[in-house]
Amino acid sequence: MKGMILLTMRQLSSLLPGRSAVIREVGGEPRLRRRLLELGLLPGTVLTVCKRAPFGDPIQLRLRGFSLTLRSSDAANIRVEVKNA
Amino acid sequence: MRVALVGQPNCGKSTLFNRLTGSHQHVGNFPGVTVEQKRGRLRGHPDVEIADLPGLYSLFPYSAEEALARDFLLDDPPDAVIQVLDATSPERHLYLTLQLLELGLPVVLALNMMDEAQASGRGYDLPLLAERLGVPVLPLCASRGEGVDALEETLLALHPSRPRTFLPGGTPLACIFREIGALLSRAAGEANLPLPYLVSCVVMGEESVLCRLSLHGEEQERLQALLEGCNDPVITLIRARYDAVERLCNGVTASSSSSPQNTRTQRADRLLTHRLLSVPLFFVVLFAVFFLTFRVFGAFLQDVLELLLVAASDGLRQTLEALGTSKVLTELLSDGILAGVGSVLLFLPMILVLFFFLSLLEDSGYLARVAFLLDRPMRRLGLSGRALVPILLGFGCSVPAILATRTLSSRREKTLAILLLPFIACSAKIPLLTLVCGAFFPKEAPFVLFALYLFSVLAGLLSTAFLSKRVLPGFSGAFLLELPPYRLPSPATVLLHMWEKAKDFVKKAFTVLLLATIAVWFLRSFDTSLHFAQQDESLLAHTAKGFALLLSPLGIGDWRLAAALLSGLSAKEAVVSTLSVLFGTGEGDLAAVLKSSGVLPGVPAALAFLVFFLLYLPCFAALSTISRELGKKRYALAAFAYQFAVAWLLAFAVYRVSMLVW
Repeated sequence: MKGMILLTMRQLSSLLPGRSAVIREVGGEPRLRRRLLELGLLPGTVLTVCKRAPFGDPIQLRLRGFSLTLRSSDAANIRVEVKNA
Repeated sequence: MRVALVGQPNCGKSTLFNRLTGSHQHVGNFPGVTVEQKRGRLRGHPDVEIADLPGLYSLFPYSAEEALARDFLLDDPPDAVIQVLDATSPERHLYLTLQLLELGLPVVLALNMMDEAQASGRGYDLPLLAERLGVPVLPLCASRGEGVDALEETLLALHPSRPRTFLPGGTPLACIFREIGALLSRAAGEANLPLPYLVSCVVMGEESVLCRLSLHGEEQERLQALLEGCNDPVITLIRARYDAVERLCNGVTASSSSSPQNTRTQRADRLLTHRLLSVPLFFVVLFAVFFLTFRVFGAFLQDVLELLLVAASDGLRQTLEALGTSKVLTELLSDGILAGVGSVLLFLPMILVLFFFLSLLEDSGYLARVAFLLDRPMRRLGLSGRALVPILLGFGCSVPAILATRTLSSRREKTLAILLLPFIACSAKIPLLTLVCGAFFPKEAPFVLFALYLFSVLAGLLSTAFLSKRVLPGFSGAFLLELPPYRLPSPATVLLHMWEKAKDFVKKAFTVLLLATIAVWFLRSFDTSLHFAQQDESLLAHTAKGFALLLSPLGIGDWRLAAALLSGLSAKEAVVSTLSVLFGTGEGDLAAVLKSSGVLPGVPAALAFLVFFLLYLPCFAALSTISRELGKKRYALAAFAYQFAVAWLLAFAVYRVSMLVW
């Protein structure tokens, strides 16, 4: 069972555009982490990856009714659980 | 009475500010620091001053601009706060409301974009929300001016308030809050800061505020112990706030499934942030702005204005002659002032058209997309996509562009962006650029102009790449940017914006430029012993000849060009007015005179002159803003020396290379 959870937990940066997921952990540099949490990226929040910028980075997310963009390197500090299709 | 206007970015705060103040606006300073801030007086109430604070998501700042807004509320508390909220997605905005209430300032909430919220099927029970929060809540549609009068009435009748916190009693977090509050109450009283906000600062680890408290060693240890007893206090507090917002909204409003605004935005983004098409599209947009400004609208309006000015000038001369005015005065008025100021006023329409397009790009939400699209290439330069906003604004005027660098999240990125801005040709350079291009490239003028803009931008990017690798190595921080829904800016806002620009420009023409023109006319008319003299023997010639020596390797050694460039430090438009005075001609003939008199002997010299003019030092207003924002005089001086050296070297290179061609 524990292995199953580990399998489904992924870095947000690895999600393909169009996929939705539930935030499980938010890490990274404390000031940035605090800001991400304040913007509503709390564990349990559902988000969707909309698209990647033409040069492959940053990525555009949609959550709580607004659009947010951040770089892959920062998205890598956010762990998500992919919702079953 | 002092009022602060607070809100998150893109909530329509500035539109409301314009509605409340009309055209009674001025730029003041933030208290304590010499940083500019927009202020205005309430229409019909000259005793009520409204400060338009920079947009902020939270009272725990992430950018320099947010820190300024927070410190304003904390250090110099206003008598009232208007918080503007976006009614189409109120949750995140109410999150900020809860923090504001901790400051204990009288607050009135203005739920903006009520019309959009209703169109998407979102209803509100405003009295219930007002009752739960204990503050007045009013509906607003700032773009149409609906609800502004009621807001004014409520604002003027606001009662004093006490700091409040919205955490449910009995929870472990509430207990810790109480204990921290008890520990801090003495120091908070001494520092005269609101206690509930200080407690939040402890929990959130906001050192910039906590360092103002004088805490004993023992108090600090007990605080530390309390925090260690709590598992991830930051996340706990933020979640408690979001839960509180949810309870506030319960029964007040329900989130709508999809608003027409969002659907429209997503459809537009399919093209505007398309994987392949978006970047070429951005350059098409830029080129279109350029073409429309210089070729279509600007040129047309300029022709109309020129006819008016010629008529005015003829009228003036005839009147003066009929009145029998002395020769010196007639010459000063017609050749000096009218030739100088008039030659610059001609360019007002072009500059207004450019500002119109720039504000359209910014206010519609498109610039945020550009920042998203181009973040990765910008990162190679040590900047982020966000830096594109000040850069594009720099094509209008450097001063607001320099101020816009405060939205950048790190000191290093801000410095790099400020050092890049002198390379971006501001609109005040348009008069001379179009004049010289028109004279030397009558057929291809717009393309040469575009090439010159491109050249200076590329030079700037290369310079930034060099500075970020060699001079300021390091990491510039994260990129975090909201993409707001596309909105068409209200005509009232756009008109007001252009009216302000026009006012600024005309004011500049009749103050700075008029003085510069008179000074130049005076200096070129008298010699060192203050006798009426030939131009070549004048005071001005003596002063400018030294500078001209420095410019002669660039093929532009005529002292009159040097004098014009020096006068350009007061304002870039002054270069044209000075040349007009020195050659005694209006704008129409100036181009022909420059070419035929051999001052600019050929295309290479003309190009070198333009390149040097594009890149040498910015005007005094921009210089002082740069110096203030960089913080240290030393840095500013180094930056200016660097800029001047780059301008000289590139102009020299262009001169030599183009000699091989022409």
